[in-house]
Amino acid sequence: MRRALALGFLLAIVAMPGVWASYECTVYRDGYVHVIHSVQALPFEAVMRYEPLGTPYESFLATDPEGVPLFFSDEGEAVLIYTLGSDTVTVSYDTPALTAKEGALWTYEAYHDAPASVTFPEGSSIISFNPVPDTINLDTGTITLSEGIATISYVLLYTEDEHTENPFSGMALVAVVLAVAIGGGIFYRRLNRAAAWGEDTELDAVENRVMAYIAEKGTVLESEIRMQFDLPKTSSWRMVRRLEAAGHVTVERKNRTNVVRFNKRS
Amino acid sequence: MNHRILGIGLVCLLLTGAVALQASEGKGPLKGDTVLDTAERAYAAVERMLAVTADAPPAAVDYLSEARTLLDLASNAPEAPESRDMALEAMAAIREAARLLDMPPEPVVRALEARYARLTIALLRTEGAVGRLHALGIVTPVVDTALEAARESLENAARALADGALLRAQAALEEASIRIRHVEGALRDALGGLRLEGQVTRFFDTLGERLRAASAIIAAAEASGADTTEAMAAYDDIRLGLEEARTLRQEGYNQESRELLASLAPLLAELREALRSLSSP
Repeated sequence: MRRALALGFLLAIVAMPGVWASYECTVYRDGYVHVIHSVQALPFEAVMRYEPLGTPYESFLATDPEGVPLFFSDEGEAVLIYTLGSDTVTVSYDTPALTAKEGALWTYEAYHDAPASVTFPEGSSIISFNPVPDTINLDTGTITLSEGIATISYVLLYTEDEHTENPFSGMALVAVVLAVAIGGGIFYRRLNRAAAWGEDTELDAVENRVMAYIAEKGTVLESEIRMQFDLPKTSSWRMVRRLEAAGHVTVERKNRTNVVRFNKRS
Repeated sequence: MNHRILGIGLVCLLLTGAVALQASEGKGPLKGDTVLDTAERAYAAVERMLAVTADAPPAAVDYLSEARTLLDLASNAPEAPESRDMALEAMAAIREAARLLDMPPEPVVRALEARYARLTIALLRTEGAVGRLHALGIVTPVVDTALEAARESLENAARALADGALLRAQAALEEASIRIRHVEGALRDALGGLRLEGQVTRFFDTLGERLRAASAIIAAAEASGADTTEAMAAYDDIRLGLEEARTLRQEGYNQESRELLASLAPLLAELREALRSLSSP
C-alpha cells in the first residue's frame, strides 16, 4: 500500500508540472517589465531549465521557498537554475522585450504558460486587449489573464505642463514624419517585389528554413510552423515575433489562432 | 497491485485537479459592462490626447468618431452580449486612433523615475536574498560591500530627482545600475563557491528517499515477473552518480558536484518513464 501511495504521488507530480505556476508582471513607464514567476520544480531533480518571457533580461534572481538565492547559469535564451530539490522556485527579472510603442500606443505582448496578472503604470489607460482578460481593475490598472498569448494596448497620459516642458517635441514630430515617410516608401517597395525567399544572412539556419516554408505557402498557422519544425511552443512563438519585428512576416490573430503571412521582400 | 497504483495515481490527479479548479473559481470572461467601462475610459484618454495634439491626422479623428458611435450603441443595453462585442470593436478603433497620434516622447523626469523605481526594487530583492544567506550564517563580505555602494548611488539619484537635477539623477542612476550588476555578479560568484549545506543536504536526502521508493517498486515489479532491466539500469546509474556527487561535495568540489547532479536529469527522466511503464496494466 505504501509503495502504491509513493508511486501514485510520483505519477501525480510527474503529470502535473506547472499547475501552481503564476506570473506577476509590472509594466514601467519606460517600457521595462518586472516579472515575478512562481514556478513548480521537480523536487527530485537538481536543475531546472527556465525560459524567461523575453530576452534580453536583467536583474535575474531565483530563490527557493525560504527566499534563499539559488545559483544559476545563463544558457542563451534559457537559464539553468540549480533548484537542488526545491519544489517551488520564485524567479524575478526585468525585461524590455515585452513592450513596443507605435505613435501614442504602447503594446504589451507575451506568452504566459500559466495564469498571469499584469499591472500597468500609474497614469496609464488600457485601450484594448486580446483575448478578453479574466478580470480587470481599472483603478489599479491590473489585469488577470489565463495562460496563453496576451496582447494588451495602453497609453500613458501626461499633463499639459509635461507636454510643454519637453524641448524635443518639435524635433520628435519631424523625426516621426520622416520615419513614417521612409517607412511608407519601404512598405510600398516591399509590396511590389517578388515573393521568392532566398537566404538572409541576418537570420539563422532554422529561421531561414522557416521563412522558406512560409514563403512557399504564403499563409500558415503558427501552430503549423511549430509542428513542421518540431519547435517548442515558446521558441516558435519568439521566433515568429522576431520575424515579425524584422518585417519578414505579418501575424494576425483569428479565432484563437495566429495566422502568419509572408511579407514580400524588399 | 498495478490497478491499485493506477487508482491511487488517479485519485492524486483528481485531487490536484480539484485544487486547480478551486483556484480558478470566480474567473471567467469579463462581463459586458466592465468591457464597456474599459472602452469608455480608453475613449476618454485618447480623446484627451487628441485634444492636445496639433494637426491630428484626420484618420485618427474618424476612428474616434467610429468608436463613439459603437460605444453609444453598446451603452443602450450594456448587459446584452452584442454590447460587449461592440465595446470590443470600439476598443479596436480607439487603438487605431492612438497608433496614429504623434505624441512627444515620455518626459525625461518620468523615464528617470521609472528607472529609479525598477533599480530600487531590484536592489531590495537582492538585499532580501542576501539577508536570507546571512540568516543561515553565511558571510558574504564582497556582496555586502557592493550592496553598500549600490545603495549609496541610489540615494544620490533620489536626492537629485527630488532637487529636479535631471542630469545628476541620470548619472547617479547609471552608476547605480552598474553597481547593482556588480552586486548580482558578486552574489552569483558567492553562490557558486558556497557550501549551502541546508539546500544540498536536503537535496541528497530527498533524492535518496525517492531512490529508495523507486527501488522498492522495481523489486515488487520484478517479483511479479515484469521486465525491470531498463528501470534497474537507470536506477543503478543514478545511485552511482549520487554517491559520486556526494563524495565530490564532501571533498569540497562543489562546482563539479553540481555539474554531476545536473547530468543526472536525463537519467531521472528515464527512470520515471521506466517506472511509469512498469505501472501500466
